Amino acid sequence: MNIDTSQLFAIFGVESLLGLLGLVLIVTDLLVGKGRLTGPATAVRTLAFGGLVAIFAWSFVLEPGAEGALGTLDSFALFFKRFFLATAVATLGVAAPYEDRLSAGRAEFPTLLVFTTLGMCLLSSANDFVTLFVGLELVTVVLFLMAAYRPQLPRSIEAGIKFVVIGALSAAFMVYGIAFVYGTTGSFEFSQISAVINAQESLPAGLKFGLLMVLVGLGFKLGAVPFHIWIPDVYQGAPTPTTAFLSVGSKAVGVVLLMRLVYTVMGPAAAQWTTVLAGLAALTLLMGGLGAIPQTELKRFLGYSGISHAGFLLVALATHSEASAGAILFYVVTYLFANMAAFLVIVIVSRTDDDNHMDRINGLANRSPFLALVLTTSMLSLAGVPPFAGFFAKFMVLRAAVAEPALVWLVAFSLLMAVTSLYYYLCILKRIYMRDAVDTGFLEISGGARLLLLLCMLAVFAFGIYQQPLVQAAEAGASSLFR
Amino acid sequence: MIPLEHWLYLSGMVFTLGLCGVLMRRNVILVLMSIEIMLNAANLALVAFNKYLPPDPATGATAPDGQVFVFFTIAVAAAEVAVALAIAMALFRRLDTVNVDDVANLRW
Amino acid sequence: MDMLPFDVNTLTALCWALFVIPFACAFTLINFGRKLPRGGDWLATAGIASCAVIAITLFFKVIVGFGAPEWAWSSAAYGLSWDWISLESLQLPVGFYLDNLSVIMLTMVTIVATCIFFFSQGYMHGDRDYPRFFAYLSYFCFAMLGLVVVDNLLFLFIFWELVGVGSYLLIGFYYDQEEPPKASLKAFMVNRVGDVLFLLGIIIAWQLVGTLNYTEMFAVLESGAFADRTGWALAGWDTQTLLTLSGILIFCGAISKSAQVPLHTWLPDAMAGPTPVSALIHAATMVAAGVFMVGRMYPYFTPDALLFITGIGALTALIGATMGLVMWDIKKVLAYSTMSQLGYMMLGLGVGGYVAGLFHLITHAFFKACLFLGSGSVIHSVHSQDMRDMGALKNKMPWTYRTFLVATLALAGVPCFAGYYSKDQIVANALSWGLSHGVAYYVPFVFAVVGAFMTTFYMFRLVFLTFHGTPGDQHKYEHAHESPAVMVLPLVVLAIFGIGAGGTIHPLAEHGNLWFNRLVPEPASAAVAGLEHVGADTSVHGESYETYLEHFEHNLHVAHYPALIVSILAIVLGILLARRMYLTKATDPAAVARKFGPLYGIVCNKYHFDDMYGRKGVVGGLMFMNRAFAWFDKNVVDGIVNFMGLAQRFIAFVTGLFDKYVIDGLVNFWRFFVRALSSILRLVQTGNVRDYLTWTLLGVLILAITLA
Repeated sequence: MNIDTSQLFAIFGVESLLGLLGLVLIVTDLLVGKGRLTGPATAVRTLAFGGLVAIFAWSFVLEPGAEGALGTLDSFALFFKRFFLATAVATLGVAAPYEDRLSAGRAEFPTLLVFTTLGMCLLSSANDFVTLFVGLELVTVVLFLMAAYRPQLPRSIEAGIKFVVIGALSAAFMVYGIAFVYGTTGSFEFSQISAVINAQESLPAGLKFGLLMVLVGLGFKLGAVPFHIWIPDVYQGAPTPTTAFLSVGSKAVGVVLLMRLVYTVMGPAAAQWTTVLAGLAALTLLMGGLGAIPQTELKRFLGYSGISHAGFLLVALATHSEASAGAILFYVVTYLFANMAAFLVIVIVSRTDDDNHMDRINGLANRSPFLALVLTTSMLSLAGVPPFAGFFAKFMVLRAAVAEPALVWLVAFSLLMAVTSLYYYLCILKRIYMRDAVDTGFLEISGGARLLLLLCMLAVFAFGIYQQPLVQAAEAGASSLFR
Repeated sequence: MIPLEHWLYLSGMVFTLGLCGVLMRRNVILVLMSIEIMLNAANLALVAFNKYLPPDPATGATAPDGQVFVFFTIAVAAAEVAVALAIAMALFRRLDTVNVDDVANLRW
Repeated sequence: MDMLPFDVNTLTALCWALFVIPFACAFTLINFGRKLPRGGDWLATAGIASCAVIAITLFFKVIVGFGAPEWAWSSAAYGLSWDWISLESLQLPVGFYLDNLSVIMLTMVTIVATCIFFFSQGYMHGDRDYPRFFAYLSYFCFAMLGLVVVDNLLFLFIFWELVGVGSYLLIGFYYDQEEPPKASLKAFMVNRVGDVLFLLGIIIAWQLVGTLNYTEMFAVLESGAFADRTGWALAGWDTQTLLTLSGILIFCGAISKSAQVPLHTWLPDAMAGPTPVSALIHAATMVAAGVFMVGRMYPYFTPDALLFITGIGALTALIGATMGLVMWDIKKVLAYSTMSQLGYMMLGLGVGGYVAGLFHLITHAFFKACLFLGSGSVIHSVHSQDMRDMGALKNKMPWTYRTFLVATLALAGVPCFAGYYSKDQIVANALSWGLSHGVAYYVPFVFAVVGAFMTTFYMFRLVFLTFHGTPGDQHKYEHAHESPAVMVLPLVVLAIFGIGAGGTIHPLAEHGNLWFNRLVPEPASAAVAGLEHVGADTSVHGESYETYLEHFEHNLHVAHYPALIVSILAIVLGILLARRMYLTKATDPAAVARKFGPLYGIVCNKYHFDDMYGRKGVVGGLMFMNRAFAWFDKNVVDGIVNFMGLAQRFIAFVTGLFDKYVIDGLVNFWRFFVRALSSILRLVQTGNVRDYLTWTLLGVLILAITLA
């Protein structure tokens, strides 16, 4: 394995800069006003924000094409690097109004965020199981910390413990799976594994077992049934910015790696797994859809909602076509905007006492029409009501799936679950518009938060009406998987 | 020479042992240790697989990829355990328990 | 294409303005409504009024100015379409499409909406959420007008959903009461059922013809150039089946939106919303959107799909009418009446009376809006919706009464009123359909006539109970008062349309000469043309479809007078029955008779029969006739009357049970099922991490076994 440093930088430019940014943040925290809580936090947050935005902007200068032993910078990887950077920026925005509630570690939160983002960007480039494993663990381990970030809150610790146990277990499954894939193919590199897989009529048992274990590990990340079970608890317990990041970033990590594995590594051989993937998709849709109905806690509710969105992503994954891959990329972006807006609203309405009960959004329309409008847009987009972006995302997924004769039942089932899921999103709208407020305290919306909310709302609306640029980017990203 | 299968049986047994530990133990620390055992089973399999891979016809030697991967696993597991123990410590401080059955307030 | 009322850019800008203005008003009001003087009602009203000005200008330029039946304008033809999506694999340009039908529709919607905005200023006065109400109303107008002007099916669907959201918000407007939130949710859910099927229909149609633009769809269909279906999910199905299936699925959208059987149950519940909302959304515009959509897609429907539409329409017309008979809530009667009238429209479209169905859509909108607003005026005055609390209100509310009566006559289809011209055409078309097909196909005609009879009956029952007789609640009666001018004037305007929308008051006018018939020609069936291209069998009873159409056309002329006579008989019988059951039961028949002077003359009771025949010179048999009629009246008419009363009550009872236990049952069952399942599933989430691990492991094992 020959490693060329300049080539590595060409592939992992974004990651290098993120690593540098992380180190700068640590040093800044040490240098600026040591021992005090707010001084370094402000400095670190500003610096992290500036750095992430700069790297995000720089990523648009990058040209796809570089490829090496440990990673690849194809347009798919680049698409997801931008996606993860945008997620990180949005998470900082969600974290800013939340920061006052932290009694310690305010400055470290952005630093940790930068490091997880580094892991995620690494993963989007992975074309080797070594990169995959290291990147995944970097993401997971830091997220453990971010979930248990408020040790004085029992629910945060509980979330942390559950996340650690289940996350570590999934890592163990994954390594065991990687060992078997390595043993049966003789390599960690995706291209060679793919060659071995597609040279055979049917997969040998050891390879099948290995791949299954790896997929199980990724299923945890995506939140596919039956590996979704940690999601509601951890989402509910973790601090809201962490939950926001988990719900978008961590899910997207599962998406990136599953797409790479299913579309590139397994390639045509994945057709043998279509039924299994479709079955998982149906189960996930069912679980997410039904689980959300009795919920009364906002973050837990969004956790179940996220599971049902994972179901839609699995529908696309089971379809195995270029169109469906493009649909997935489109889907995650619309999900990013709708979800981030929802979480930021949750941070604002939960105010200082950090109560996330659904009562908090009762009568929101009268308390703050702006927040009500944002949350309505976001819920309608998540529910897939036209003309919001979420509708078009679902539409693309189903349109791709209709082309697969074996999946017609799944399309019908997805539509049914979409209708059912509408019920609980409407319950949220009902609370916003048709209930009297329970909490009447002042809702403080900072300028930055207002800007982020406006941006998310506009994006959800704009991508629903004028989705052409995003669809083109998504299809370009998807096409590089099928070369 | 011991055939590869034997190593794999051993690794499988260790993995299962770890899994049983994860499912049966209530103490967080022991659950984490069981997961470490599972990771060690995977490491064992990696090294064994590497040893039995056919050599590269060009160089006549087998690349030590699997054995290198084991180092990554060990390093990452160490980091994981560090974080996990910190959280377990927080659990003990705040709730005065290390029993996973006692933390079940987030549910339904 | 050459006849344009304005240059293309102006026309495009006007189309934009039509739905952007209401949207801007809605946006302003929801955010700043409370800060504006008078809650911003003037802004919303001015917004919709300016839309009305635009629509009326178009109407005069296009309808009155050109008067050309084939007039149509499509922005796509001028390259003004905007690519919503433009990718290699997916093309979807969006633009505007106007023709005589949409211009008439725009005019109707904006005029009715303007009247209702004014009315609402009085009706909603003092409500704590006054600005929000106008914001929602404006939002609704935005979606509704957008639905009319777009040029493709997918955007129609999108606006269709937005209209649904508006309906949801407005039904649940009184959120602090028990009923409205439930009703709004029910409306939304029931509509989603239809919408999912609609979307499936759109997807199939798209695969079938490769475009969703109306004109292009029909052109492709007509040429028989169906898209290649290899590799597609339903590839094995033949074109005819798919075309019919997609047509029926598309119609399913209209089933829920236009409250057709069996997805009609939301409409009566929707009356929990404020009355102006019922008038605008659940009588004049949104529920009619389904009919408009069927009219727009008319060339797409195969004869089999039209048969399905006919069946649903006929059933709805009858069932809706029977339900209207037994309601005591004034708005519920009107709701069932709306449902039944929508059934008439669908029936008209289904049997091939394209013009009749759509004409009824326009005329019905005016007088039904008038009826709802009239009921709103009454409710506003007596603070009750129960007709038993009302009575004798015509003295207290003379203008409400007059306009209400006019609208009732129009709805009943009394000659010279607007409803007569459209409804009579539907009945004639139904009869002609029966004549062209054979005995079994008379059912829609029979349903239509029986429905017409019942319509008259329940409407006059409503009028008698509300405005005539004695006060049901003395206290409420004493406090009743005529509504303010801002509420009465819209009533008058709508009542004038209730008379004038037919365009003539000549009772025997030829249908072909009516303004609507001259301007909105029936399009040729593109589906049939396309099917003939691919060699499918389109013959009707062994003769070609063209021959069938000629027969139908011929029979339509034959059917005109018989249908007219039967309808008028039905109306007369309806009024007679209503009078007997709800008027002569009053304590003092003589006083009632005096009060009913003018109406008395129209209604033929047994003495008038005698007099009439006497004056006509049947003097010789006068005594005999007297006795004969007395006997006839006593034994036959009374018998029929009693029997029909019983039968109606029975049918209404049975359909009520069907509604309550089967339709609601299905909806409730699904809700219950989902709830129960989710309660069971949540038990998995015990909170104990070791249980989670066990479940997960079980999942891994199952997966491994599945794959092994």
